[in-house]
Amino acid sequence: MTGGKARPAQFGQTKISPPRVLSVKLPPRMPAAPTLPELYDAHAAGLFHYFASFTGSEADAKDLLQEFFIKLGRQTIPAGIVNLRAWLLRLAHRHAIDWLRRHRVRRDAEEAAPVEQFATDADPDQAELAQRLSRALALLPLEQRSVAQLKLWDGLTFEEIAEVQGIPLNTAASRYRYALEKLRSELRPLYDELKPS
Amino acid sequence: MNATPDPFENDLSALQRRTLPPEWRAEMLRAAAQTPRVARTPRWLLAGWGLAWAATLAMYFTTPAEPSAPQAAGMSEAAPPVLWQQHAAAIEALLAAN
Repeated sequence: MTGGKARPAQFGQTKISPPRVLSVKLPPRMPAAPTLPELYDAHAAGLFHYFASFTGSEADAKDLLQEFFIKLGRQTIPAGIVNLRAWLLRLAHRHAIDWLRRHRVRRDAEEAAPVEQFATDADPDQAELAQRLSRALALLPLEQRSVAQLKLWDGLTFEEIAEVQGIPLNTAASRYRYALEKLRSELRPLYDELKPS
Repeated sequence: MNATPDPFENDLSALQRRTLPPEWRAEMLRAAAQTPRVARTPRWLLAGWGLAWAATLAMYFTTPAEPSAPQAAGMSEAAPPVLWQQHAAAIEALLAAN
């Protein structure tokens, strides 16, 4: 500090200001379009279980999954999809609805024997819970079961579920709430036994 | 809307779903690869289609409408002045002849 006032720039003197750093925001890098094997490895199991919630039979769910991948193979998968899981599930939902219309087996699907959904656990208690849960899920109406699948095991938010199934947000939330209450009441005795508070 | 899950929900979510039999992968990917891809409509064709429609609409809106029936009748009622002059001259000629 010299103590004096800052002198104004005189003629011939050039004020050199420090170089400004340009803050250019680059657009986020667009994710590349995934290949079919990549999609299979990442999402086939989830899609299979989602289809199984519609068909109620493992053989039909497998056929549906195969048809779905054939359909995917025919089309160009666009690059830049942010939520690939939700995008695939939306296509899968339409595919499953078409299948239901074609086969008109909605009632049968709801009454069919449950598909084994969960990995057989070494822990007998967990294995028992998984088995009971499969049975309890089979008892739910299709709409509630599919929403519960998406929320609990596919990790989708209600907003995403509403988009996947083409239903209002509140409907998605209320279907999940009903499904959870029914599962809770079906599994309560076993659950309380396994998890004494 | 997306409330914090309770312990029951957490326990259900924690259950691992069954993995698919490994032989399915090759089976399904082979079936998908053997299916011919659907030929998509080329972009240039779509663009041409769009341009043709745009041109049709532009022509439709820019072409003046034909005169409607009452307007046409009005025009015939108002005779041009030349006709009036000829009419007056003919009357004068008749009067002069008489």
